[in-house]
Amino acid sequence: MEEYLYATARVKALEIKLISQNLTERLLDAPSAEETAKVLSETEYGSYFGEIGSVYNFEEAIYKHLKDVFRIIDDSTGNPDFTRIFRYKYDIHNLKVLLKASYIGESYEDILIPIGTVEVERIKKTVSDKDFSELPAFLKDAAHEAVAGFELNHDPQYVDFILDRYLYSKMLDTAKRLGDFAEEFVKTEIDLININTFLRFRKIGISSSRLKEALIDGGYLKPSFYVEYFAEPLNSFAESLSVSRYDRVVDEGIQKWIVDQDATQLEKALDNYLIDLAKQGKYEAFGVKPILGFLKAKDNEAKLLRLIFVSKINEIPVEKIRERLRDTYV
Amino acid sequence: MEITLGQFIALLGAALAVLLPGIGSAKGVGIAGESAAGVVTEDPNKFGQTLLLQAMPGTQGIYGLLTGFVIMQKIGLIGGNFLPLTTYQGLLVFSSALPIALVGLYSGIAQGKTAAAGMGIVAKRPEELAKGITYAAIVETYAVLALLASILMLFGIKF
Amino acid sequence: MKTNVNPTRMELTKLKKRLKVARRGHKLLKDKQDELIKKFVDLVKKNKELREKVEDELSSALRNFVMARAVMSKEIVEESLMYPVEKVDIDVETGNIMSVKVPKIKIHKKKKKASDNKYPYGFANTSGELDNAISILADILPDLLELAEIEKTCQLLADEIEKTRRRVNALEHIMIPELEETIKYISMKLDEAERANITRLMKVKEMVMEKSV
Repeated sequence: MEEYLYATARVKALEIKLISQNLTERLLDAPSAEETAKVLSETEYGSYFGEIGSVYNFEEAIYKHLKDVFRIIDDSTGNPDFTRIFRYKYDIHNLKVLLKASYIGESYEDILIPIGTVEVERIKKTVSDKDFSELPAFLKDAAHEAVAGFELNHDPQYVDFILDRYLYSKMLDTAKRLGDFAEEFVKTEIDLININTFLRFRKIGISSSRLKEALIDGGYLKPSFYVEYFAEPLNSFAESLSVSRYDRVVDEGIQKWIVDQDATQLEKALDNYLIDLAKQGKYEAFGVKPILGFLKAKDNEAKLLRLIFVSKINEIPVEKIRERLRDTYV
Repeated sequence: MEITLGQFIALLGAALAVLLPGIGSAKGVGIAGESAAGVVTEDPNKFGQTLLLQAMPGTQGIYGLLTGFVIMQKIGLIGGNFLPLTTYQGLLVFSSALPIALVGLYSGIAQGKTAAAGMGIVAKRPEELAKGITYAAIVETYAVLALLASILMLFGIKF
Repeated sequence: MKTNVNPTRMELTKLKKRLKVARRGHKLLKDKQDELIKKFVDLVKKNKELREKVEDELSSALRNFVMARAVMSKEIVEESLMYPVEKVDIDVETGNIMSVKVPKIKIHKKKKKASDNKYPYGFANTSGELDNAISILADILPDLLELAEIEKTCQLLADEIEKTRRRVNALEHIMIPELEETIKYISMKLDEAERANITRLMKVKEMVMEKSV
């Protein structure tokens, strides 16, 4: 198994620059979004926030930073599979936007995210030409199936379902090439998404036939598991999950969800579970774990900053932000 | 001068005593160096500290060379008076070279990895460099023990 | 007005007729105004209740939106919502309250396809907080349209009440008093003419009597 000595050492050096608990507190204490950006200026994000002008464009700074992080990891590992696991979702996002935009007949270019594995322009061209053969195989197949699916029932949700299924199966394939830990990571992510999907379906009362479409295959828990429990009381679902590897999710999120059906705690518990898994990377000297862990940490950091900035801009009280704060990697 | 099988075997021992720990050290230093480069890419100020760690797996090669010299001394290769060793004498010399040869090879690589892991410590907490060095130094113990064993054996052999 | 009329008996009859019409009109308009105000007060009460309800729900939907936005990126939120599942057509018809034309809004939900789904996005990269916002918004749409209808009706009624009030006032304070005054003036003029006539007759009678004596 490859050990990625150079990359892991570099990642270790980069880990100390991740946003710490301490800094998070200072970001929360800042009285305004502008002040928050000022606190960030002493971190790695400083230069990116310098470029964007208005603090309202904070997403742009985050994406630019992520793009550079991806480049560092690609260069230092010499294996693009690591970042692919985190970048495919942007390809799929762009494909979703462009497909839907073509159905509406409007341009939605400002919500494309330019940090996927395929340049935005290339996807744009294939969608406008209605010829997907230029795209990488998985995007091509995904696009074909999504188009066919949409023509069948004109429901935009199916477009998302189909593309998400392709996304995670591709992520899983890529992860398998990186070994057991990466595979476990993606499988866990799939399970966590399915658990959330299951509970959301229960809450909003959509039929179980649609649930089958929404579930993603490839996790440790098979889609049939969720379908089976769909008509059962939630407690029995929680019970059977609590004897699986997701017992902590049940304790920290699902128990409370059964009482108040509040997404906040649940999603925090789900996210924390994956972060916790990624944290193994912190205690490992070489190999796949520290690199994947670091990428997840960056992914998580983007979420953290987004949460803080949106909240600061909209003057949301700090305790509301705290409720949603995920654990940090460092 | 007639060359005996004993002479050949003894020389083979000397060669292995230099060769294997050398490979181990090279590999170990390489591992540590690769890691060091990763740290220095992000923080060039840590060059000195990483260099210290990188050098640690290099000792096995030196021990091997030392053992090789002692063997050459012993069999009279240095000084020009190559002793006409019997096959058994040659095997004795060869056996005494084994500890440092094998332990040097593996401990060199192992120490390289420990040193590389120590780079992670340097990357995150440069003030804890000493601890990283200690971890790597503990691997060194076994190389030293092997060297000691090889040297004692060699001194014990009387022709 | 009183000066430029012919103080004739015919005019007097005409004016009296007009006064009668004015008084009846005044009473009718007054009744209409009362009824309008009653309707208006009812509607305003309903409007207030509905508005408070809608505002409550809208602000909770918006709170949910902001929180959803805080846990999802801008691009993903927008992508999730860019293609609507439901289309709502609105027919606006005219209703009638006390001969005031008011709008009646009718909603026709046009689903793309018969399904129970009001969420246009997938679940993998979206947050449950977005579901809450969408669900609240979908539920308050009928209320929102009813509120629009009632608010417009209130506005139209208020206009009508104002107009009626002006008419009632014009009748009450200007037209009727003026008519009454004119009638009084003509009666007085006529009476005076009568008296003059009598005096003249008496004078003539006197003269005739003198001659005959």
